[in-house]
Amino acid sequence: MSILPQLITNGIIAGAIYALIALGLGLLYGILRFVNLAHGEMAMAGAFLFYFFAIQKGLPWSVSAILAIAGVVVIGLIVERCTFRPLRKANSTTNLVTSLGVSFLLQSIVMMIFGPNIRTYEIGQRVSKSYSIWDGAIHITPNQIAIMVITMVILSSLYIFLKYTRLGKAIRAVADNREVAAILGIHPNKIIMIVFGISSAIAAIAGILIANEQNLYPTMGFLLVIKAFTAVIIGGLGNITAGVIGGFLLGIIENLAIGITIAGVSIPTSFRDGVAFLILILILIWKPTGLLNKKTEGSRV
Amino acid sequence: MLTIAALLLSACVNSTPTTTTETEGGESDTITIGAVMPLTGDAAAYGTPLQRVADLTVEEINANGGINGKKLAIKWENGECNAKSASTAGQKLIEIDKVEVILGGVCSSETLALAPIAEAAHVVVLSTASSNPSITNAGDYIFRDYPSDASQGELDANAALAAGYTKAVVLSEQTDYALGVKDVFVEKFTAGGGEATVETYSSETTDFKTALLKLQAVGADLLVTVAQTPAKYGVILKQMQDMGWKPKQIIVSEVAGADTALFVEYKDFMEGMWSADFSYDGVYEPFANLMTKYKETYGEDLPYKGFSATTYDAVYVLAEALTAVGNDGEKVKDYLYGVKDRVGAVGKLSFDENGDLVGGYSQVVAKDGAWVKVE
Repeated sequence: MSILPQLITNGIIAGAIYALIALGLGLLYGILRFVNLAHGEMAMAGAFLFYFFAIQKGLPWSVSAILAIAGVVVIGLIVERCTFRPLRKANSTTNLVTSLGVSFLLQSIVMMIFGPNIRTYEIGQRVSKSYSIWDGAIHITPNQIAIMVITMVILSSLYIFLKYTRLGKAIRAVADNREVAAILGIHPNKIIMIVFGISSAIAAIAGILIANEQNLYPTMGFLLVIKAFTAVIIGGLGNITAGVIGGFLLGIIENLAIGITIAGVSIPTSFRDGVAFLILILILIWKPTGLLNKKTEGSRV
Repeated sequence: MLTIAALLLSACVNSTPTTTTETEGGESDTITIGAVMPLTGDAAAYGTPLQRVADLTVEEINANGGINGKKLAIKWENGECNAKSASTAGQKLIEIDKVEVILGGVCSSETLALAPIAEAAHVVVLSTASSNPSITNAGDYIFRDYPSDASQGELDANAALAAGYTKAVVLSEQTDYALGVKDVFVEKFTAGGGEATVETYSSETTDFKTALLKLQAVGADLLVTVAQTPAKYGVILKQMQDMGWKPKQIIVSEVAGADTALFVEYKDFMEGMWSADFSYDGVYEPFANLMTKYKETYGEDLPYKGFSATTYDAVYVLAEALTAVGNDGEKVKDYLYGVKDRVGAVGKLSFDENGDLVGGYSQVVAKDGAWVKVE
């Protein structure tokens, strides 16, 4: 039996995870013009808040998810108000380093509350609910399907929102040129707050889904953001669709690279990240603006 | 400054013959051995109970006549679970207290730091808890009655070959511990006519699907997994379950074998899996008495039965050596190499040509949510 169908499926699942994080990261980059390294911690916070409500407090999963998303939005808004807004006029390097600080701070807080151990959403004996497709050529779980579907749903709603709604147009205007947008009566700080709220909510959803797939621990966010950042650069900075496509490409290439055996030789799994960053370097040399970006400036969101 | 002083001191001692110690212990009615264990810090969680076990054991030995009528005593030093403190402690014991035998360390870094100092001074070191494979070749005078991580790989390979497996797939984490176990397994398994396909992953990995898929495609009946922490097994087992793969036999490392938490979620899935375990054998009565005495004296159950059992045995073996050959590092060393099938708290104790414990781990199998010893 060929493992190729399952390999591609694994790639798409991994890609969807990268894409989910890349979406929020790309959205934030578009409007803030720096890479918010604390974005992964928003996902981590979502995963832990869900753990707190659903597992520790025993609330229904739907209620827990809503509470966790709301909680992360609040955290996101506090972070924006207390750290990034005072630095609005600072250059992007200052903001990047600040976001790294925020990332470590959130990690430490979660570690203080929950401890460094790996946790899981499983309760009692685990029974796999995976589906077998094509006589077992592909195995996939409902959660993996949810990751893929939700990524696509969020991407398309975000696309429609940004393109066709008044608020979406205002966000694009601020992304394009903050000063001109302000002159036209759009309040940049308000818009940035809204974008932070949206990206935090997406991160929380991503965090819960990813933790359900790979378990949760305080440092999960940083590893996620590194891969998502790679995806964003591969696709093209400042373009959310490109980030998502970059994520899927990265996931599929990575899994094919380590999964395919040619003449008895294959790349070991431990080189997986090496493959990812090799792709990144090649893209940066060959197409520094990313695969899908035609322009470096303009159309940022 | 301190380092220089220590160097000068050690240079002085190396040039003096070590047989001059009779002035110290010769006419006295006490034989003193040294001990280096972590007595403060995180690792004191091991060090403190082991210190109590050793002291209770010494009490027991002295109550039964001591060493040829002389009392046995332990001079304690704090190794703090690090190389720096352990080497200072070792220098002090050897040069000032003139001990010929050191019990400890507990942490591998302590034992590895003691090794060169003790080796140069012809002082025996007997560790009761350090598992790092590099201790095997740390020196002639360096012994341990706790198994090397590598011995686990040998146990797994022998069990697999004995059960008739000829083709194995191996999934190993990239850490010193896991790679050590994996290397020995592959070496012994292939030497016994088996064929092994290996896949390694970095410690940051959370997605094992493709690694597992590659191994599944090999079509072997045996899967050997060596992870550093039980938490990694939580993810590996989950993803195996989701991809519907359970080869005929799965071996998990001692890390999972010492932990029953995994059974909470994977009791059914883990049924029949093999692992390795090393602890008190549960039958040696004198150690059971010591456990009772520990509880009476300290008001709590004896923790870390594995390390405590090896410490208990170690103090006894050293006492027997001192009784037989006297307080002389070189003679004690020769005595220890001759120890064969000594019955104690962890079963039969023999040292191999490297001063390592022969055998050690026993094979356990997951049965209805518990690890059961395989006879």
